[in-house]
Amino acid sequence: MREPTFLILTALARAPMHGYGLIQEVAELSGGTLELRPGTLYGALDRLTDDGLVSLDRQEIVDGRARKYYRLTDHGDAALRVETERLRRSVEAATRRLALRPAFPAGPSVTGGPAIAGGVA
Amino acid sequence: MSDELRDRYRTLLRCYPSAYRAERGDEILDTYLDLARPGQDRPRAADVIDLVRGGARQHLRARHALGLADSVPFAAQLALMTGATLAALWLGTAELITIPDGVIWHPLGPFVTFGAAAWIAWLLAPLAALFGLGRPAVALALLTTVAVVPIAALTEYARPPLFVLVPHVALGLVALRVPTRRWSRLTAAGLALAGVTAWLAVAYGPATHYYALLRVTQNAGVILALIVAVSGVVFSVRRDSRRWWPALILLCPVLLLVMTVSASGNPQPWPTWGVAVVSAGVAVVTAAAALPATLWLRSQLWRDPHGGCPTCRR
Repeated sequence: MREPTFLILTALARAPMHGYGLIQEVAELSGGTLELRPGTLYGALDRLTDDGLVSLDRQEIVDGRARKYYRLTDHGDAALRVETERLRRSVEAATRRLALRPAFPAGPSVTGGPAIAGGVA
Repeated sequence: MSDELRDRYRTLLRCYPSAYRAERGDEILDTYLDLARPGQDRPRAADVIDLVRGGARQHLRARHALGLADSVPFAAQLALMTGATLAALWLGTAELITIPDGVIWHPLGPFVTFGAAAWIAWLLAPLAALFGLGRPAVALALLTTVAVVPIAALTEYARPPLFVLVPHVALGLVALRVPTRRWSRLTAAGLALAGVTAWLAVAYGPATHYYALLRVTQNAGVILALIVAVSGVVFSVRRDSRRWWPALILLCPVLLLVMTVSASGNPQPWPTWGVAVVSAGVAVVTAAAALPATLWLRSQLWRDPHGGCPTCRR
């Protein structure tokens, strides 16, 4: 699962959202590193709808504009849980490896700034 | 929010299929207006790219062909791998032949034609791709390959035959869409393959002219087709949307590579000018026609008589 897909599903995990809200939520979840644009977002929503991971929840009129809210389906919930578990295992494996790292000699660069930061992290 | 901005976004929405625009256009437009900065009166460049790309994807989706867009990075990596490996072979064999004494020749350093510059650019492209610079590197290799012909015509340098250069141009056009991410196993495999080929060619390969290596292009085309076939089976088994789409994208370079030998004849064992032009023309036209034909066929086979809703699928 690609990062935008993962973050869109994550954003919808809490409650149904409309397009603008999703863009804001994904930006917040990614720490500002992923700025979805509407063309990309709705393309992703179409694909997720095709795959049965997301569906239309309801439509509301706000300030004269029709806003569609999307929600995570049961299938989407299961897919998000599987992907989260996979990522969790990867993070745990990486954390274990990094914890072992100080036990090995870091070489000549051990006195340098970035090498130390990476080695002790 | 200015009506001018709304109108400009609405104009850009024409990139989308009309049925999709009718269903989803206002929603996309309203979201863009929500995101607009105060005082903004025209779409940003990123918005234009976003809408053009989104529209193209919806046209493909309407024809049940989104796998085509998904396949482009994979096909580009295969094209880059093939181009770099062939370049290594040309550089290690055909470019290192010994010019007989008495023949007036203008070598390019240790190499016999200006094509060596293009082959070196091709060899560097997968290396650059591993550092996220694949697209500019492929563009440089492609430009150098194309430039070989006029440079050879205007200077004293020789060039490789067109039946070698033309397939490389086709491979380069596909490889332009190589992924921009920094690391890719497929690109790394391509670089390793090209490196091993270069070493084998220099160490054990016969230094012989391009015209004696016709079978190499055919074999490269067959191997590329086999790789695409195997990947097609794997993608199909995994229900990956890419399925057989890479075959369609790589059809032109594969045909150009494979048809080189069939274009050769007697008394000379290499293609005559006229036969080579017809052969290349058939390859290009066949590949160019295959794409719209496939899209049309899919739109007919999966036609939704009621015009489905893009959001609720009703």
